[in-house]
Amino acid sequence: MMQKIPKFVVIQETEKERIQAYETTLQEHGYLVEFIATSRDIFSDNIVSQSPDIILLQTDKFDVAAEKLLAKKRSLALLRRSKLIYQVPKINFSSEQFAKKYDLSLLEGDCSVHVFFQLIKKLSLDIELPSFKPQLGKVHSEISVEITHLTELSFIITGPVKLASHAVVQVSAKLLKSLEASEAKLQTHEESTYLSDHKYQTCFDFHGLSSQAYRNIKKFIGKNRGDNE
Amino acid sequence: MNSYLIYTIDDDHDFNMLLKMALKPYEIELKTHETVDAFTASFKKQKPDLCILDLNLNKTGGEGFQLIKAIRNVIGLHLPIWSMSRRGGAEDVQKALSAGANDFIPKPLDDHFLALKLGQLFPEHPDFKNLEVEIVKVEPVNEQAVITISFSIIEVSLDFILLKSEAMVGKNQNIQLKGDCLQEIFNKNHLLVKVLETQQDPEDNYLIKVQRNYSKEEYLNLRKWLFSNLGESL
Repeated sequence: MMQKIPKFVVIQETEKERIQAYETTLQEHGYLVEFIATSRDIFSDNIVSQSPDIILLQTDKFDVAAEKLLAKKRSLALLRRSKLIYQVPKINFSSEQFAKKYDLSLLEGDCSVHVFFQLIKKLSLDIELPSFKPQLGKVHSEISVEITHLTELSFIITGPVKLASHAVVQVSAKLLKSLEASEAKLQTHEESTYLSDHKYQTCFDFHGLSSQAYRNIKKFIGKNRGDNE
Repeated sequence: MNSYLIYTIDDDHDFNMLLKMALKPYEIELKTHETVDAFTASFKKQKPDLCILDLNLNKTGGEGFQLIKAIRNVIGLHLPIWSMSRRGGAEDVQKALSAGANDFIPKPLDDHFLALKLGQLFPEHPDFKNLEVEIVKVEPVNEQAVITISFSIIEVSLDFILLKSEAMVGKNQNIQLKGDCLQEIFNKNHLLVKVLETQQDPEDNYLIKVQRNYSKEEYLNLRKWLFSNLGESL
């Protein structure tokens, strides 16, 4: 089951009590809320660059300058994916025309937070979560495993990782260091096999063991021979 | 049965004899050479399945490394090349691997070890299938190890990151991703994520979908990065 990702909601609100009410309801449902007082700040580069999913604009705080900013951002496609809600005291012909012009959803009157929440839940269904295929460098992760067996040619690990056949992987272990085998190329012999409880077994072949490492491994095998019986 | 052809080059005539005796019990075609010219002539006639090269040809020290490089330049990466030498120090072995060798066989020759190595390389060869490999258990005090898995980030969205790797990490495992490129997105170079699902692609790599409970700051950084990269395409 996919975890629900918080939607980013920007609300034009200054009243403390309403802010608290919005915050409680929205955060409880995983939405991330930012409260902004002025329309100018809502259309600032800082907010626009985060492409909010939902923006609630209030008519009493919306002036000509704000409309100009809205028109500009919408035309530049900067806020194209944001769902804008415009709260008006009464829905009439003029507000409907305005909403149509800028693709806004209208919300009437001094509505409750619950009504607002129902609306954004509905709008959220249409919001696409875009993805990007970046050209980034590599990342890595260190995963704890256990070395269980050793031969002249190879060693076996168990752990929560399944490796493909012939994968070259870096393994750090006190044992390999003490055998002077850390610098050998370590390549999986074949694909890991599943054991149980999300654990896999993998056999690594040593390639390029130094003479000393080879002698150390032989000695180690001789010394631990008894354990095998 | 597959017949495997092995070329060796070693200027020590006695060692070549020893090698022939060591491989006599096995169905292997072994052609030994004492000079680079003879080796090159054979190579031009027929490509072998394995080359075993002494590192210390003509006691000049280093000709073996050059020969490995030369073979790699001509035939690419497909042919297995093993280096063999008394010069078995870690530095020389690393130098041989860097030059293009796949493995190293120490001298003096250990017949059984050589046979085991050949069995590893030619797993289909019946003569090597029944060789005994001694296996010992590792005591708990020695068993701790850490493997470092490399991932490429192939897709980033607001609700998941898709990674590609030669390794598959079990579902629901928490893994710490580290890398400077995370800095570009999250303003930090490490990120604890949870594995959601994995699948194998046609090239046997694993695609791993991971997710994180982002802090407000991380989430906003991610949005900013994502939308600035998507830009006008939205």
